[in-house]
Amino acid sequence: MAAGIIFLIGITLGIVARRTSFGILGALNDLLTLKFSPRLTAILVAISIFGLINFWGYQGSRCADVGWGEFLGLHSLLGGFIQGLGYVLARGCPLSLMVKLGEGSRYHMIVLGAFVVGLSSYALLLQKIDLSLGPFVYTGARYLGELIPGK
Amino acid sequence: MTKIFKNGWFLAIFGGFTVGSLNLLHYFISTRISIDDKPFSFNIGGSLATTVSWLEQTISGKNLFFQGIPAQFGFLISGILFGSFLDALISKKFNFSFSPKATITRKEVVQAATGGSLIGFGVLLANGCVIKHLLGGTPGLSLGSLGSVIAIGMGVKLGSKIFLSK
Repeated sequence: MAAGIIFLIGITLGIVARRTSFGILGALNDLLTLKFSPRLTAILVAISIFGLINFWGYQGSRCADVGWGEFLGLHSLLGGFIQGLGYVLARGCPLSLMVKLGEGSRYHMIVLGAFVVGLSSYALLLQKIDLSLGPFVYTGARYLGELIPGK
Repeated sequence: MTKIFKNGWFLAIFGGFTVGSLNLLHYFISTRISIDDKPFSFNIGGSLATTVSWLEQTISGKNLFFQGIPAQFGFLISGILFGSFLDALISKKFNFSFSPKATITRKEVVQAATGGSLIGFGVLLANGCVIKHLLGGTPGLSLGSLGSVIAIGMGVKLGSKIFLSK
């Protein structure tokens, strides 16, 4: 039942993202050039709505089996930077990738294939990554609120 | 009534409101399908990764090339793919062609391949894609996400300067 609802959420997201041209890359470019545009507004509205989660408390999640993944560290900065370069070359974020794949874009089929290669590279190097980047992780706090003294 | 849906600002706010609300709904429902019983927000890149791992495990019975990536089928991303496909068909914008004339240049192949592999590696290294960090972790005030978003911005800025300024 939950899986079915999430599938329906996905269908709705795919349609809305396509119809409203909801895209992170364009919005990030507008933010970096200090241009207040409709697509930047869309991102800010989405962030504000999800911000209501703080009434219940947000919990992060893991993508790979490393103990420090959810914390802030060198891996967050390196991984983010590498992704950012990738988004420019791939002409979009993963949401745009899925939407364009649905439209039948050959370019994005190649992106998907290479994405799988990237995943495999990480998996094969996981132990070395854990050893080399594990020491550069700040485990003092996961969320901004934990930095407040007395909390 | 239909005029308002052609207004760029209205579409943007409507899109943002819908995405944010769906993200919130997804977060609360996700505990029922989560591997570790913890809720999770939209994470398209991470979900693609776990789906690939799940595919390998389903086909070969073990994880050789994707060891260390939790194996879980991505209901959300399959929904996005299906929804986009359906909408493209209905609006007659589905543009896949088997015609030999519809080619991609070698430069585009290299560009797409490089971009895709960088994204795949970066998503796992940063523990999530920009969707997870910007639309989930940042409003959730996660330090890891805030750091990742800043770094993604730097990567996009440098990437735009190097690859798009020609």
